[in-house]
Amino acid sequence: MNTYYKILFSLSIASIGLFFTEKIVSKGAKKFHAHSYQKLQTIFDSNNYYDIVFIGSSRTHNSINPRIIDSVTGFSTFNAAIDGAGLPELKMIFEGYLLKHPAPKKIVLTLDADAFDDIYKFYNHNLYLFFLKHKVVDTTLSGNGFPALRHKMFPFLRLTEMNDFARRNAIAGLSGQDELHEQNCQDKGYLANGNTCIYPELDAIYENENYRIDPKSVAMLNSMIITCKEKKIELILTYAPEYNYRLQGYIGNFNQIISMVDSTAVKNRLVFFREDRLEMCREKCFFANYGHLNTAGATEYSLLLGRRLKDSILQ
Amino acid sequence: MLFNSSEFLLFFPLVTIIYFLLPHKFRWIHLLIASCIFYMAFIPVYILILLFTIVVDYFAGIWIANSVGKRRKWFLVLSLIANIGILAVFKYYNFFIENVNVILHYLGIHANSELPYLSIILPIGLSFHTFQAMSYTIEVYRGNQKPEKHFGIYALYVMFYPQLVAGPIERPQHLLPQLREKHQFDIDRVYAGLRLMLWGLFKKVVIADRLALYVNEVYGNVHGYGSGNLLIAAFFFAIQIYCDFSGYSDMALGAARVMGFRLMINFNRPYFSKNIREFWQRWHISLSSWFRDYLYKSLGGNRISTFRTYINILIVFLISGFWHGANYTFIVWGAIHGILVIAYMLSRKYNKTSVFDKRFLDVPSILFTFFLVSIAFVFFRANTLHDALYVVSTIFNFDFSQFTLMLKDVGNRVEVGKTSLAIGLFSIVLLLINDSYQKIDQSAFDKKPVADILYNALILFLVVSFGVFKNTNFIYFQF
Repeated sequence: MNTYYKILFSLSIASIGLFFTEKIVSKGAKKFHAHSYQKLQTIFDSNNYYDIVFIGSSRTHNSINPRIIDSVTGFSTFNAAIDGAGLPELKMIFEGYLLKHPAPKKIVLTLDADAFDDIYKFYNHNLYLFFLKHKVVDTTLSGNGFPALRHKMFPFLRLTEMNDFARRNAIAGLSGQDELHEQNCQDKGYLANGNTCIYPELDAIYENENYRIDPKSVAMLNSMIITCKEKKIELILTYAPEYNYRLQGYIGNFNQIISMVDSTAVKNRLVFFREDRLEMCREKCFFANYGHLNTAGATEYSLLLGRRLKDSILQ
Repeated sequence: MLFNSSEFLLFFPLVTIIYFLLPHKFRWIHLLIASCIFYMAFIPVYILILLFTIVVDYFAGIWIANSVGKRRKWFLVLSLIANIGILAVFKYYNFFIENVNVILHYLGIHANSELPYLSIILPIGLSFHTFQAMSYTIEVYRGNQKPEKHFGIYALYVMFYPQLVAGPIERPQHLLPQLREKHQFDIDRVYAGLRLMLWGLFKKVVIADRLALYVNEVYGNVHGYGSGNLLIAAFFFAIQIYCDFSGYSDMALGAARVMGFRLMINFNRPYFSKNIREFWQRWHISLSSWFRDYLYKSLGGNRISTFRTYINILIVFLISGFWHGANYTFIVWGAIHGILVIAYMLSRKYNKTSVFDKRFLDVPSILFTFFLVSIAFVFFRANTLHDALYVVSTIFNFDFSQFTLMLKDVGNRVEVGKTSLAIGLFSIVLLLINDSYQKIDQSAFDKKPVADILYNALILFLVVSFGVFKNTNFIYFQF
């Protein structure tokens, strides 16, 4: 057989196999991450109006129940938080949301101590590969070294972005499992965190760390502040609830990071809620671990936050 | 630039296409520029080190050929000092200083101050290209090679990009003539080269980099694991380093083959060896043969007394270990292999028809050799000698009570779960089948085109579907 044909056939057969595999794997991944996928669809693809949008990491995702906020404020709200999100990812969600949705009245942006570090630029970037048609996702991923163009041209190359954990999830999705646990419930982007009360052995898991304040991340925050001013959106900064200041005890430069956020808020006349100072943060059974509220804690916190947001709207 | 990077995916076809489009007389310039770009992708300024050794060895080669008597030897010594001197400064200086400081501290001298360390990064592939350069001047000195008068061709001999950073360590008689040959575009050769590159990439990204997830986790915390996990990590590292290094060699051979060059075979299914001596005839062949030709034979080889021969073997293996890295772990690794080879030779001497040579014992002999090699590799991989001794002693405790299949499972940071192990084990089985039935150049299906197409399609499919694409360095780049 002619060698050119051998090369052509080898490439064609492999490409066909990869094409169908990618379709199947994508289907499995979307099914497994149904909650996250639907949330990203709401953020990037829909144009519904929400009065208040919550942006942050898992500490917002599991802490703010929009249904409760809605009932307290009378507004329509949405929890657009993404697990593990740092500034690049927060900015992408922020800009991606504003591209198709009408501007909300308020955006509540929760910043974790590691949000300015660049350790986890994109915690679960595989999910974003389904939204490469969205301009903001495309430019953000391309700008952070992901070969977005290549993945758009040859979608089967998305397989090369998956690690074995993502592969396992895709297979689990095909067999009908999903990322939600038994105690989880989801609503308007919120994901309940179960009823586990904080357990005492937790100290063994945490390690002392220092997080970098990447100037690029600071510039991203400033750019978000400018956009809010331009679009007349009230931006509220928060530091999420944590159990008895325990989490920050492990962060060597916590005060430096918080001072930087505080001075940014003062400079731009923004409200900065230090939720770690709330009285409820002394109650162990509101927390699943030091940094994340459980379902009862999220209910309590959503009521508190809802009342404050209502007050600020009335003022 | 890494062979498993997206940059190389652009670099390689571009260089190859331009190579064939250019007239023959300009091709060496093109390859030399491409090799410089390839090398400078790591740390650009280190190309000056290469340039220095190239200049020294180029002139040394000419001067050796044009001289007689002792002067020839002096020029050879000059070349060797330049090459070994570079190695000594960049690779061994800090190790030497560390040991001197320990001795001085022990003797109570300089108790409050230490001799200064150099803050430098080891130039990538330094040991490889210095050894290749040395082989040139030694061969010229021995009269086996005429000096290369063309500076550019000589520079290309040292810098030819497919084998620049991790070998195979070529000999001038083999590579230099090829650099002057005119290579026509030949689609069969291109196909053969690409097929070998694909297989090398499979070994690297599907097997080596996946097993590395397990190995790195265990060796990063050796005291946290028991006999079972440490034993599996030892086996996995033996397979990882084989797939990593032979994968690199396959890609180097394949890339050169596409352009018409034939590089030395570096691996010949070493884990099918029935004894440790055979292992060294199949593992990193270009380095073992370098030490055999230029060191072992110079020490007298096996033309001297048996005792001296054994001492020479031990010396060669100790230096070979030290060649790999400035750390006692590598020296011990070399010593273990030296002792194993001597032990094997002794067993052969007193029992000419050794029981391990019986055909029906092939499989146990192969497994036993693999076990020995894996245990020796513990010293190669461990971060310190203390860690290595802990790993070996724990393995031989045979306490499997703490054994866990999955190493960790936290959020989506987990990568050493059941899926990784399942894919890893499946890939190892495929590797075994391939190494049993394929030829070294992956040409077993040349006369069965349908099987060849399907096999290549399968390997390409597995690379894209199951590869670990993290731009992970090749282990041997650090040497």
